[in-house]
Amino acid sequence: MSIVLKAFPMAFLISPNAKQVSSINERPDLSIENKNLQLIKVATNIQLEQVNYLMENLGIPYKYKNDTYILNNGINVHWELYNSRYCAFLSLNNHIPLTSRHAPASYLTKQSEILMRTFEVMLKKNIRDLKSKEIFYYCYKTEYKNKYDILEMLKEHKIENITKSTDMEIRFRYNNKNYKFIRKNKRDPFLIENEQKISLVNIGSGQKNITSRNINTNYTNKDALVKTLREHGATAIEADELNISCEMFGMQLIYSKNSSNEAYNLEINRITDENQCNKLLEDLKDEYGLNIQDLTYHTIMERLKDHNLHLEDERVDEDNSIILTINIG
Amino acid sequence: MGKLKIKLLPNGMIEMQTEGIKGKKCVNYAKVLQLLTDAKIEKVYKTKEYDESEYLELDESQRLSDN
Repeated sequence: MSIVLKAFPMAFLISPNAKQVSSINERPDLSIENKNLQLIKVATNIQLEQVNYLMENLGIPYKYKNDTYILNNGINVHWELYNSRYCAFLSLNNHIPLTSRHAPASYLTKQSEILMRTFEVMLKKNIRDLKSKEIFYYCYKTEYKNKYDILEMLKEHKIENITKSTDMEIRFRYNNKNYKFIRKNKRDPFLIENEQKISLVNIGSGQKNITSRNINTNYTNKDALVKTLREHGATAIEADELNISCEMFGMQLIYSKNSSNEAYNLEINRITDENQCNKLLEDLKDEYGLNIQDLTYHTIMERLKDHNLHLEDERVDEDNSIILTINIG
Repeated sequence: MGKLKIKLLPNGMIEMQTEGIKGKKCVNYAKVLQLLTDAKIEKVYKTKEYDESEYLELDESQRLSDN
């Protein structure tokens, strides 16, 4: 007469037995055919003189205003200082090829990616701002003019993680992505900004195909994760409440999350060997599990006394499982 | 006296089995595991004896002596 149960410590967001979500994002999601896609915002790490260098050497684009350029391929590039970073706002103009007019969102997405790669080749470095997690922000037109209509819609969709709500801006998280309704004028309808994490690509020397990668991990425990990284030989470890960064085997690992009870998102930069990267991820998973096993063991040992329970026996199985037998009742 | 057998797996998972606890109250011991580890319960498997009452668990000699 018994029950058998399976459980997992809070150091995991979901069971470690569950399938992990992992993806290599080599380009933005091209499946978006939404005609409402209005512009794509790319946060960069470059300075004004580099912006000027890029635009002057891009094949004589038409300079519409000081900071806006019209390219022959149908793309407008508008540069704007945004939160101390130069952001490229990419949108369509009338030069879009006829053959692509049936799928303008797809065309804008693809051309934006090509343009950013071109910039990176020209400057021989990754120009997307790592601190912004190399995020493309997709901005769509909406019909919403009143913030209360938006809040009502979010409520209907049971979206409760609303982090900001003003007449000009509403921010929320949904499906692990940041969204933002935003407008510059109270008379305008809201745009909705949707972050699109991409990864790619510092072409750099041109000799190696250096990529990046974004992974949703299952890890929530900062101390166990830092310990795991340190034990695996990570260097330059920096950690605060929500972010951990380090260097390992020439790669840069950046773990980040938005609140303490979430799991970390892992961004790996400067990957030159996919197999090495996969092996590293497997090793870190194994070692994190062992550290959590150790942490759980010590937690149980401490709490047994508090709850007046007696440990009758403990042993280690062949598979390195620890078996504890506790007397009750 | 009942027992809890707690197995800490190397991947971080926890498995627990109750032994010698009669009837439905053994489910309550899932809470003991939560107290000890703060773990989230993923699955609970009830054995076929789970629904048996404490009375049915007594052997013949015990019932005779009780009477």
